[in-house]
Amino acid sequence: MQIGTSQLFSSAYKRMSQLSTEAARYNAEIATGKKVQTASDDTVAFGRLTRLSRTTANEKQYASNMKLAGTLLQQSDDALDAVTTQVQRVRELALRASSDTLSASDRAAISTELDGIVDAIMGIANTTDARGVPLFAGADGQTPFAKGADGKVVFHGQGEAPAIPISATGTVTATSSGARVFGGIRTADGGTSDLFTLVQNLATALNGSDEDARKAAVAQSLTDLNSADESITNARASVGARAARVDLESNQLSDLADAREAERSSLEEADTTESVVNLQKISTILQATQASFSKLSQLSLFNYLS
Amino acid sequence: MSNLLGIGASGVRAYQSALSVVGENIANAGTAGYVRRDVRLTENAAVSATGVVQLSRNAASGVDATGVIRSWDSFKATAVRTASSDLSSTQAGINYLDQIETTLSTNGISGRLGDFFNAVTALAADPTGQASRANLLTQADATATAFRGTAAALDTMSADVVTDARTTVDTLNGLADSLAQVNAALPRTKADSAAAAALMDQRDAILDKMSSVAGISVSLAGNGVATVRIGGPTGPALVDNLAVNRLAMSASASGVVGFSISPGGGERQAVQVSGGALAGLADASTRIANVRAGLDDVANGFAAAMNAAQAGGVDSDGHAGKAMFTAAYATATPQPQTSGGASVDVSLAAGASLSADGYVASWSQASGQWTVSRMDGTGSPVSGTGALAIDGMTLTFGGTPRDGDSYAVASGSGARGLTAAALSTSEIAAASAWTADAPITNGGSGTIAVASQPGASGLPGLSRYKVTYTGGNLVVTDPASGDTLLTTAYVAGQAIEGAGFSLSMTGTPVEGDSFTLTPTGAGSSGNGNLAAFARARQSGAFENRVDGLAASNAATLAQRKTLAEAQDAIRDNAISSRDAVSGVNLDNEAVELLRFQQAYQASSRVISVARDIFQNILDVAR
Repeated sequence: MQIGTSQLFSSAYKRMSQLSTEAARYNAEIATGKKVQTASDDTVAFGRLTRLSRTTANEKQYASNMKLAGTLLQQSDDALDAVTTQVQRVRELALRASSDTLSASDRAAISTELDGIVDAIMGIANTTDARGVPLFAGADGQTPFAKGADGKVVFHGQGEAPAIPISATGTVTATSSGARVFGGIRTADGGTSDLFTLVQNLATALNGSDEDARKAAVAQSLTDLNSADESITNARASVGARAARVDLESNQLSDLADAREAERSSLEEADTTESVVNLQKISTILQATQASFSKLSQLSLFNYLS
Repeated sequence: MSNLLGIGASGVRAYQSALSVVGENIANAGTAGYVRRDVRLTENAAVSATGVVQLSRNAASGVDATGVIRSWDSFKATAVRTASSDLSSTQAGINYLDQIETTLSTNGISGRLGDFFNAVTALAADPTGQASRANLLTQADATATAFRGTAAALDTMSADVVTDARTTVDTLNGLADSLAQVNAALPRTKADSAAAAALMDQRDAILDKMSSVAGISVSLAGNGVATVRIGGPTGPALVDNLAVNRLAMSASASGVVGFSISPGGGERQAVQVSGGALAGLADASTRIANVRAGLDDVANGFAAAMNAAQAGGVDSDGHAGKAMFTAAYATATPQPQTSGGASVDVSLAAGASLSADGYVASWSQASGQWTVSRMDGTGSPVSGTGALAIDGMTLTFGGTPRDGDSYAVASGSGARGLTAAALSTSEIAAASAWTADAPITNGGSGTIAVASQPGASGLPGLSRYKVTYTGGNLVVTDPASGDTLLTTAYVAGQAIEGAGFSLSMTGTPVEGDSFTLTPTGAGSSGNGNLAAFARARQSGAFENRVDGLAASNAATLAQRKTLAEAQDAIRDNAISSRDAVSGVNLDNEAVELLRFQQAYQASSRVISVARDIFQNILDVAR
């Protein structure tokens, strides 16, 4: 077969430019460390990578939400711990008040201390969290507990505490409604009351002059304080369980992130050794092509005609 | 002896021609489209004497260069043209598919959407935080900007394809004109002459160029005149001898390119161009239009879903959420007869609902007013000067119009119009419209969730509701009057339609447990409504849809790249097989040069011998 002279040149040019393109591709792989540069390089891998990076972005946000939820639960736990301490103190005071040896002024002093404890617990119940929002306000952003004109502590919050999303489907309620934490205490008389009322009732009863009524009131208070303590402990247990769940999910998330990173790397990252070897191979072929072309192009019968 | 002299002379003449053809071949070894030429040498036929005075010339009488032959194979030339058509069609498409890929990846819509929804997730953790609210608004703006940026790039691309196609059609028509000229010249040229060969080279070069522009079917007449049909072998003629039927191009409103031709000035018929750059461009225009339509769909769906989610909740001030995005856009263009120096600026309010048919604004000198009316004739027109508002759109007029000047305002909605409304941080409707309160006396674990459901009308519209669990039923009452509004069996999670909302209970309530529903007021730290955004993310699958557009484009692009490689190889083979016949090989020409040079020298020698012999005869006679 005859080969046209200009065809000889153009096909050599084409071959060399193809080799250069291929060399440039390997060079880009080495420079960027990625073998999938654009979607069309590997459609399937690119689609998978897009989904992986979206999941990573989503889970980063969920992880950050979990971190916040963890902080809030820790703050709730700290607050409830402080409340428990106060409730213990109230029980001590109640026990002491049940003694017959106390004078009216001793009881008045205890009563005053109990009033102080009510304020202290109210202070704890009105704690704001890391976000500047009250811990125990439910769905309301306002300060949840305030004293009314009659000196009674009233809950102003509303609804249930908002649940924080920690996965596409799961949520965790990191804060609680004060009505639930400090209220709903089953009393000895079969009704329900709240912590503030219990302590305030005790303080009021201690100031009473009728000894029998006073004793009965103190005795009932002690029973009720036990269930108050139990109620707070239950609330703490619930907070602890949620914190444990957040921890667990957070660990799972980081395991998943590791697995995802491994998959991403296998899909996207170029094997540098392989790329370097390939580049070397292409360079060698390119050099050989250039050398052989320059030799071949010098061959012409005209050189021998004289 | 004059016979020998004649033979020698004919040889010298013939080989001179042959040498000039070889010289031509060597000179044109690098000329594109040049077809190697051969000289046809024919022995001069013996002519017997017919006259009384003529000598008998029964011997052979030399050689003649009777023609210049092109080393040409029409099948191989056709194969090259077909391969070129296929390749350039694919390559023209690849160029634009590449641009679509770059556009979709640089603006990163799906990434921005992800950021937006993650900002919603972050806000759910801190519903009253100013920083998380501000971040959501920033992400909303970034998302809208990404949509607009992509749409603008696609608009440019769409316009580029149309321009490209127009230029390419002009090129094709220009080539058709040139071919008609060659067709005119060919019959007037002596067959098998160097001039004819040059014309045919020209003709083939034109046909090669044409075939890379559009798929053509060529038929050649005996004298070399070419007829070119487009759109298949039975399609209309583009060039028929001297007549040229120019190809015309049109672009639809969505930028899809189409072609038509009117053979012999007759009825215009649509042409399906099947190969060449034009086919690639037409295909690219369709793809760009599809991507634009797909993106508009996503943008409209996204805006509607987010606005619906906003509307279902209440913001920090206790108001129902305002629209967060607008996908509508409107542009004013002067009508043809408009000659004044007026200017019209169009701006849209968030949530503007425009008439799909558009609007027309016209100036009347008599009243000194602009009048804006809907194109479809509905509604009442608005008149005045300065700024006029209609359907949430404000037209601001400036400059000096002339009487009768009018502007058409085209409206639409889609990615190019997607903008985030200028909301303040307090205007994000994070909280549910209703707050469910359970008294602490409730003994069971039942909880009530309220979700916005526009159009739900299972209950009369009240400002409070009470839901009580009794006897295995849920009883909804009006707390003000105590009237029972609805009684239904309790099924965990089953939605009960309210008035613009639906409520559902989960958990295990005990007899007598009750709940009150009150409208959420200002300053709530609730995040119930943000779940509506998250649900819309799942059901709308906006990110997946955008990725899908990119993925299907990428798959086509990858396939086209592979195809182009294959077509390139096919074309290379076709060219080398054609050039094996038509190409100039300098080594061959060197051999030919030697051959004809020697023959020329030998013929000269024959003349010299003839002269010597004749001289000898003369010498004998002396």
